[in-house]
Amino acid sequence: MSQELLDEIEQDCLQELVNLSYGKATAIIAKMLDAFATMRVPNISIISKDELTQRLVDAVVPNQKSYLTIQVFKGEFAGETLFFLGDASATNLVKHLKESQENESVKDVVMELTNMATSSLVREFGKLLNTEVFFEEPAIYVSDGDKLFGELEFSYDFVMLIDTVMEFKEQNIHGEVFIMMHEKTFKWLKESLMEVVKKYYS
Amino acid sequence: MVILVVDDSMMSRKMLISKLPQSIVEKSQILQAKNGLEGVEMYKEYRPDIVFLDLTMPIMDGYEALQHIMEFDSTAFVVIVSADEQPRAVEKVLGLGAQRHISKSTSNDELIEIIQMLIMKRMR
Repeated sequence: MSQELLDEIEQDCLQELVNLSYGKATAIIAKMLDAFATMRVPNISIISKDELTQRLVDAVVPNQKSYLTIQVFKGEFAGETLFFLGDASATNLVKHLKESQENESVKDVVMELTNMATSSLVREFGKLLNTEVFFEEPAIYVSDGDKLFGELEFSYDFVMLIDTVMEFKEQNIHGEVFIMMHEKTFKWLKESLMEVVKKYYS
Repeated sequence: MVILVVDDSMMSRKMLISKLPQSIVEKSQILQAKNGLEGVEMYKEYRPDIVFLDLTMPIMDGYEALQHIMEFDSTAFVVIVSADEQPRAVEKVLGLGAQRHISKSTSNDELIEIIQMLIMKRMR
């Protein structure tokens, strides 16, 4: 569907801008963890709210905890980031940081680190499009594997999904990042991409 | 001079080419490849003087392409141009035989310095 809303050049441009900002964010987290992340080509798609919920349902492993950090960002580029981490990855992350393995600590550590990753990613992306992004306080939801983040309600009918993976193979940490936005932001994004396209693709 | 730019993003290839000194671009043959595999095949066919190689690419990533190029020609002059700025990524590519690792937001001056480095090396 994204192919219908973005032409090939816009898609290429958007993918590369995400890749550049993702590189900066990954470097920050890798330094904090003293680890090495495998970078992947980001996958960009347009999905419905229901499809997003289904993606999260599929990612949750029964009888295991899952963690979802959410943060709203505002400005010309506005939306919400989601960072999904399974139980094993969350535990490995905490072990790696030599923190306590009490549930509260896992939750705190996961929220701090995932929030740092997504906010760096969005801030860098905004910088590349010459705009400043402002963040609201993040929140973390824990699913027990049966109930899917019960209190969670997405207001995005039109979701542009930028799906990236943050993977630290040696530490067995694998997270998924989603950036959601409304139609108004998508229009702004498309115009901003056009500017970049004019500059580099002529 | 034959210059090979390997990157899955057309924007990144164009950005890099636009930063090269005009005097070099005018006198050079500039080749472009969209992934590591294409890059390796083009290297074998054209034997470029310099390769600008991205790391994160589909089909074959830059690490693997670099290995193939260095196995084929141990004197290849490969410069990694990547968004991956992790110190271990830099160490890894230098260990595999790349001449330099530069950021995708590299400056024109840095590219001039690299071209000068290549010319000096070829003159020795």
